[in-house]
Amino acid sequence: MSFSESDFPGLISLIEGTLKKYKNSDFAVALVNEIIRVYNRVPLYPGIAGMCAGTMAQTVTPDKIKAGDEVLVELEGSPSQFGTVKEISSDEITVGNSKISISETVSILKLNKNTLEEIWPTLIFPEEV
Amino acid sequence: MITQKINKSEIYLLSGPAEIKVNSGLVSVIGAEFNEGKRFNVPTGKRVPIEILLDGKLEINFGDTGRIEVLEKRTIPELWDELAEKIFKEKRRKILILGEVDTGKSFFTTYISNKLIKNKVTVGILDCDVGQSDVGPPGTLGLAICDKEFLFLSSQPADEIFFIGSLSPGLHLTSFITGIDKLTTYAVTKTDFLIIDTTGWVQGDGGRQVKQSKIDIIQPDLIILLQRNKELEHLVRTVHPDNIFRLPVSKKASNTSQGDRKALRELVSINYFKNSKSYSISLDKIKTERSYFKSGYELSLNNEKVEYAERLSAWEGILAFVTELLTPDELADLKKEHNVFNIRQFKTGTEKYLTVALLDKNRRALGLGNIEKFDFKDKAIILHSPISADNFKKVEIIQFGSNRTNFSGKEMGFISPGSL
Repeated sequence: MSFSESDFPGLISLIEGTLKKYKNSDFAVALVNEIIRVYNRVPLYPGIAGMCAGTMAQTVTPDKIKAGDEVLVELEGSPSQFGTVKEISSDEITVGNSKISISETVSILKLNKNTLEEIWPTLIFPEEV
Repeated sequence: MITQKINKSEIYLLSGPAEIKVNSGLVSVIGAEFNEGKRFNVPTGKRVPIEILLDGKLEINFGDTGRIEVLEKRTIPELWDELAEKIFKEKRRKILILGEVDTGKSFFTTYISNKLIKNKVTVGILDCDVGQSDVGPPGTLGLAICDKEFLFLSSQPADEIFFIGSLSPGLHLTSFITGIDKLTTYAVTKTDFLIIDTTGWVQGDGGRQVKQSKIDIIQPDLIILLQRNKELEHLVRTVHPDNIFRLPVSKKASNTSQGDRKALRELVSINYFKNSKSYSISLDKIKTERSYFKSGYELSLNNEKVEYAERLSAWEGILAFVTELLTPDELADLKKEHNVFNIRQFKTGTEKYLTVALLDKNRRALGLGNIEKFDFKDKAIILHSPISADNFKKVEIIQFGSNRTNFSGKEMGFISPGSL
């Protein structure tokens, strides 16, 4: 065995795993872009970017969703839908231009864009530069 | 102010802030002894056990949260004293201390140092914890050479520092290991004993690699494991058993939160940079290390976004300082014109607050500075540093890192390693 001397191989594996795991390629690309965005905020800590990546796709119930969230909705017998939530009511959710009945959803994954703030708040710096 | 009567063998726990004067008697605090007339301070957030060696009286001035309480028994194990004696008698000159975060390594280092200093020897303390420095500013390795007892490592001035430029050795491994080698080599010529206090990074690829390298480079005469269970054993499998000493972690060792760690680190940094002055250094005179900047040959690029450019070595191509990033077409034109495959772009302004080390002609670190700007029009680097004007005249080399710190010592993030 030899040691990997940085966390970059782990980050590459995570990106590879993300692209393989999600059949909806738009969602997979959005996740990868989010991993890259977090990494660019903490370029000294690829390991922390990797930790954040693990919590970027969160399974949520419809009551935890609000307009503006980016979600992947898995549907019974139909292709999944990824996009920004425009409206949500107790029985219907509008993702992009698609109206989806909540009763038809199998699961909803929310793209969490606050992972660094939640996991490592001391790495949030004033944007003075 | 209170006067506290003290009796031999009593143990107290004193929480700062407090100023203490020994009116009579003799007390031991983290291995340092104070007799009649001696004074010491315990700052806010610090707690120290006081062991009474001779009857007498203490005069104590408490700050707002300061207090004193009686402890039923000694908190420092007898084993620590036996170990200090063993180190001295067997002349174990290089001592490496290993432990996870929050295992009391700095407290232990202080105690053992004081016990050794009592034998009228000089003790070097090499603080390798770049993220939680006690000796020297954050992002550096610090060496303190001590011949007098002390209470807190953080009160010891650094005799030498080695700049890492990051709060974690993670992406600065070569500088980190080089620094340990340089400071250890130096310290053994100046001290009777050297204690190496390490980071709590002991697991995973990086932690294992770094600790193994430390053992290889330092070749310690004794490795002290401060462990709760067996969490450090993987690091010493190939070390001769006579060179390992295992100690349980004190129950008094407290957990420090992420936020508290940052606050403590910034306190050290704010204190270090508090008297910074603005300096300008000519680009024509200064040399650089750990950067592409000023390592090539100045070059003129035909694009108004480019403020300054250098031709680097062979396939490294060109380093360009730009007011805004070049478009793919602009890059393609410049690559073709200058026959290179690679143009590195550095957006000017990004250098603001970048922390650098200022070295003399012998490559000794005189201190740190925080960059205000690269002034390509006047061919100068403007920076803020606490070093004296006389010392600044000796600066010949700037060593780059990745951390950003503002002029009053607050952390401001980083630049990507390799971008400059």
